[in-house]
Amino acid sequence: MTKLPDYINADVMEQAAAILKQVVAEAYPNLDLQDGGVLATLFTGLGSLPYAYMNYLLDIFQKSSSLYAVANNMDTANPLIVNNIVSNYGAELGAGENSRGTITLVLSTNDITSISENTVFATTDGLEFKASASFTGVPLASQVTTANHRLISQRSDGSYSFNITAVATKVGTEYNIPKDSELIPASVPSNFIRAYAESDFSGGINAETVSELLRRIQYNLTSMTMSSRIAIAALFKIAVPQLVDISIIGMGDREMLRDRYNIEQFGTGGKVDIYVQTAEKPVQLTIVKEATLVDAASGIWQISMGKDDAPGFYAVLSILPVGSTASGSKTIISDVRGLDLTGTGFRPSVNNIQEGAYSRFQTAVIRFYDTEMAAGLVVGDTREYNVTVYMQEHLDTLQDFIANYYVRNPNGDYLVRAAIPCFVSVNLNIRKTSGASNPNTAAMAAAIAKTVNSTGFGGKLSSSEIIKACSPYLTDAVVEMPVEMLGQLHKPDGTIVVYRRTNEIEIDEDLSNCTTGRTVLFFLDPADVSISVTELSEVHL
Amino acid sequence: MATTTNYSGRRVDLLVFHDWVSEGEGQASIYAGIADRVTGRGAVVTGIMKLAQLFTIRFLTEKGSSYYNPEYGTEFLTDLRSGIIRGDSAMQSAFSAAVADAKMQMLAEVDKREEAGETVPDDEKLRSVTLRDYILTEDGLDLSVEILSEAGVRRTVVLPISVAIR
Repeated sequence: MTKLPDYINADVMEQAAAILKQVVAEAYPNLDLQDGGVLATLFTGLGSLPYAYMNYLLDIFQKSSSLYAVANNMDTANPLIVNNIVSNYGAELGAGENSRGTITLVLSTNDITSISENTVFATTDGLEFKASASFTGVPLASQVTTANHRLISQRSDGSYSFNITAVATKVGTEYNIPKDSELIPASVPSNFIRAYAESDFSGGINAETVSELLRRIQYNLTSMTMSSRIAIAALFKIAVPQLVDISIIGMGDREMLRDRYNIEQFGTGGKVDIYVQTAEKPVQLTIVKEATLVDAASGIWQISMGKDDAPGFYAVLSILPVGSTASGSKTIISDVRGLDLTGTGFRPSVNNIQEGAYSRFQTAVIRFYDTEMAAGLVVGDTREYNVTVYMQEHLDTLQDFIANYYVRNPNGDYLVRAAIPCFVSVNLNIRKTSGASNPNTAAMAAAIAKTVNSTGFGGKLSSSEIIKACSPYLTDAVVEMPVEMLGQLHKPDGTIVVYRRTNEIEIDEDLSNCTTGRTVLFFLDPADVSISVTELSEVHL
Repeated sequence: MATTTNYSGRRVDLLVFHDWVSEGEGQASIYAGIADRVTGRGAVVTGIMKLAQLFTIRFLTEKGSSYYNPEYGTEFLTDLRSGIIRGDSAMQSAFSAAVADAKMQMLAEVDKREEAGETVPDDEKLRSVTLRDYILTEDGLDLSVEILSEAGVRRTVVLPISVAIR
């Protein structure tokens, strides 16, 4: 049955038809406008349709023509009109961002290998990425003459590899694939073995919805100055649009140490510590660093991480020789953090690692064992290692932003720090009724991780939030209590506090380490969610 | 086709069916259009031909096909296309049901106009429609139909229906 399009209001059509009939009948009384007649069909049936359509367009415009109307009609507000309105406040509906990262291609030979621009690489889930330029892997250093020539290096298993950069084909956070994700190229070189993500892909942001824009626009309505918490947050969202959360510690706050350097130890103001979350969870970044052999007999090596290598990184996850195909890591003996406040431009006043850890001024000296590599070498010899760190990105961008002469409040001393991390792992058991299908544990783990990573600055993580995250995936199944939560709080001075809880993890205050609920965030990787499934026996039905 | 030339005091509609074939005048296909194919001129219609046109349009419109008036029309063409009309009795049955539906709709329209104070002449009120004959061809169906108005005026017309009969 033919029916009116949903957006055409039949009542409006009928009203318009009645008006048209009346007008035409008055003007031309000898015309027969009875229903079913030709004139009636032309004038009223078809004639009222454009009126009804214009009425529909007018309705859309009215529902999109002001911030008030948009807020009350978010599902139907026209994005184009919404963009026109919010442009008055210097904002626009975010189109999203494509994630970017590095792909390692593993080859069977070190022959010159070309990857053309826009070659598509796909994950097993169907997420597609394309090479950001045309790259050529070359076997000799002398053949590297442009930035897109990449030196092929030999791996420990006899294969070869080189890296290329790639960008996701679509916007969205789902394209922030983790390190080591397998990727399959659309066109395969003859010596191709495999390809994988060398580090986490990052920077992917979902297209903004109208409701998200309305929440964000309150920042645009503030004055863009470093003068209040909301204004600072607004400026930071402009500098790093993917900023997830922010906590601003200033004068009078218990966590502020930097303004208490006086005999009475009271806050004098002028200093601000800004704790940030720049992504849902930290990223894994692999960089190549030169290690120096410091103890040949014991096989102890040392790496110095400068402030620019991985600004504000949380932890070193692994250290492996370049080209190694082994998993895991060399044993890390020590990780001593320091500060480097050298350089030009404004530098905040930071006195010790408790005040400056997880900022872009952080440095580190890492020592680890590698007796195998040390064999036959002497103290002072160097070798290159792949160092994978866990970090929040963009700390350098934000610190440089607020240090700008025209942005920084002349009264202020601002320090950006990654939120003090509490890394979480979760164990839980699902009990399903006899014969029920297994729940989607992978999706459940991802949902639990997303919930934990979205907890925000509050210092508490409750098991009820984890159970709530599981509920959409439970059909004929329940979460068995207790839910085991393990939290490792990495304080700025390097101490690690372990929480084993079943009900709630609550961060204990440690003001000497600037550690409270207002400076700590919980982070959980889906790989650290362990879900077991048991089935009730039939007698329990 | 004969058309009245006296429209004084009458309400007219656009003539859209051209080349009506009356019984005994030979076969031709009526065609729809605002202008005559040969003369290129438009025309208006009233009286028994307007009644015939009103009936024909309503009778040959498949019920539900008009999106602004889903109750308008009959199910005759729907039945014809579905292939359920496979003999005289089925044809007669389908025709009668469709005529009854069309007549009810047209009388309701007359009632509405008279309630609004309009005078509807008897030669524009439908009394009956009779199926005189029909010829099934491989291309379609020719219906010979007699339309009788309340004024006692009869008009027999041939409606060639070009549908693929299954």
